[in-house]
Amino acid sequence: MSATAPVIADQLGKDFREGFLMRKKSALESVSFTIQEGEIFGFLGPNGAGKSTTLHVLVGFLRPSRGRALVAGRSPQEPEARRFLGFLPEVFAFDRFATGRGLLRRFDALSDRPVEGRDERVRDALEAVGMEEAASRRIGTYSKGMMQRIGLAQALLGDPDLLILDEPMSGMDPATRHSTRMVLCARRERGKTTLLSSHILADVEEVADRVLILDRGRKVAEGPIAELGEARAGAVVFRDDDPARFDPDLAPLGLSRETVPGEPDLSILRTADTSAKNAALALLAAGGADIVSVTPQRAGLEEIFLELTATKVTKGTDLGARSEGEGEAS
Amino acid sequence: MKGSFGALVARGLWRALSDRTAIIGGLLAVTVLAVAGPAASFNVFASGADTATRAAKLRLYGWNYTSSFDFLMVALGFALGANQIAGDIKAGTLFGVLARPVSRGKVFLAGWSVSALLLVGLEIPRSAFLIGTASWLEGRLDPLHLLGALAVVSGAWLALASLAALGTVLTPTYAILAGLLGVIAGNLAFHQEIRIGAWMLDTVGVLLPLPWGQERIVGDALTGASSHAGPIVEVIAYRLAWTALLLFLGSLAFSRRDIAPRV
Ligand SMILES: Nc1ncnc2c1ncn2[C@@H]1O[C@H](COP(=O)(O)OP(=O)(O)OP(=O)(O)O)[C@@H](O)[C@H]1O
Ligand SMILES: [Mg+2]
Repeated sequence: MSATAPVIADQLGKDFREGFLMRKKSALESVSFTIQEGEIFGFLGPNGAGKSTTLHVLVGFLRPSRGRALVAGRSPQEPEARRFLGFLPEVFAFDRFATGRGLLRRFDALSDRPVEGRDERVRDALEAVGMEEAASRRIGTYSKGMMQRIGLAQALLGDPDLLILDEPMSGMDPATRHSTRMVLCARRERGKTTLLSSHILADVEEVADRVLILDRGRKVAEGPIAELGEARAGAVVFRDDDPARFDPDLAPLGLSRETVPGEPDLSILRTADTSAKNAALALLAAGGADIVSVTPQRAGLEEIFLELTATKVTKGTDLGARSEGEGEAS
Repeated sequence: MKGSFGALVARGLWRALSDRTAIIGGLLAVTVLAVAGPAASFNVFASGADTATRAAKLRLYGWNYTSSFDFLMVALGFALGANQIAGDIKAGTLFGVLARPVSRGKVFLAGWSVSALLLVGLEIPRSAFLIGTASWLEGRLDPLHLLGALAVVSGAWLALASLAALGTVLTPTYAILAGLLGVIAGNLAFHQEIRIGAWMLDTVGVLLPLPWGQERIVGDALTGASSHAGPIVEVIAYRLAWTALLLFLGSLAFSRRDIAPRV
């Protein structure tokens, strides 16, 4: 195994050309990160954030417009960079007429691995995803979850040093999701690296050592989930017809009010200081403001995600709208 | 064959044989042979002439009666070529392959080789029968006959390479449309009656892989109307050179292109 990190992204940028006029549109801007050997690295971001684009650069499908990527110390364009790599794309299709086992055997041969040991490698991969029974059936007859599992099996084939998974859990039943998490953790025990892109935050939270959050092509956070949570301030969201009246009392606590665009009566207070937060809550309650939400100090991955990505505005307004509706009904 | 190339060839064969257009084209080609072959033979052997005339007639009827087979070979070359990369991307089945340690150039060339061999396989029964029988009647093998058959095969290879190359940058439908446009433009430009300035035609003929009165040369070699090897050798060289150039360009375009699975 080489001494360099399995994945290095250095100031990666990618433009796509779009429409009839082939106008440039940036999908990725200056994204840098390094994945260490033996790590499970979570890759998060809202739809269109550029997750798949980054993964496609890493497997050599796309050429970066700016910056540089290294996989196993090589340019992803070199076939050798993919020798010890397994990839599951977000959308994929396999030859319908092949059986699951036939497909894996063919892929094993495509990876230039020797014939001896092929049966064992194929069996191990099928076993890891619980597809031994369906392996003799044609892929054209598989259900969505079975497709996802055979997709994962082909990525796991030959126990690659680096596994790159783009939304592997979509379409999987809870038991399969669980066993997939187990497979990833078992790989980590053996010192193997995994890059996992997923929208299912609970899965990522459970297995990932570190996460990276992308938003509109830019990196907005990177680190262990616990650390990201600590760095976040707790947030108090409240509603009042004249929120400015609290400002004189909030200022001494070191708090300043943020507003939500399009929601004049909704305000947010952020602080990492528990006593300031408690004092503010007492003050607001006494003043008759409607307290909409209090985000815990040590945020979970979902709070971090919603806070850091554009989704937070939508979430704020949603909450506001709902509490208003409830208020009218009662 | 070496590991991954062999696996690519096996996969290509499997794909070509499960491609509906290719199957239909192949069946049509076999039908043409099954009908035209016996018809030509019957005409020749019922004519009761001496063996030299019989041999000449066999070549003339044999190749002329099966001329729709030439067309089918080219059409099949189009279908197989478009299915190779463009069809593989469209179906979404190529990405599992590209994620493996194989170069795109290898993927492209392996795909072309499979289809090229299939086309040769389809041509062999007709050529072997006509060349074999004519040689037996003539008592010798006319090298021009063999060269003519080689020209037919290299024509199909050229059609295949053109579509395979177009398919690295276009979707299957657009690749086939572009190919057909090329054929139509070629037919218009190279009609001797339309004289839009001979130099223009010459220039285009060099710049584009378009047949320039080649069919007549090939026909003369096959039917024995010509006894000069020069022109037919030139035609073969032209077709093979263009095939090699298109394979190079296609493999280069494919290697440099952004290809990612999309919803
Ligand atoms: N081939 C392409 N041509 C043009 N634009 C593209 C192309 N591929 C991706 N994009 C754009 O790049 C941006 C990032 O897309 P990407 O697929 O990487 O997002 P994602 O984070 O994977 O989203 P999702 O969670 O929906 O899968 C999007 O705005 C998308 O429209
Ligand atoms: Mg995606």
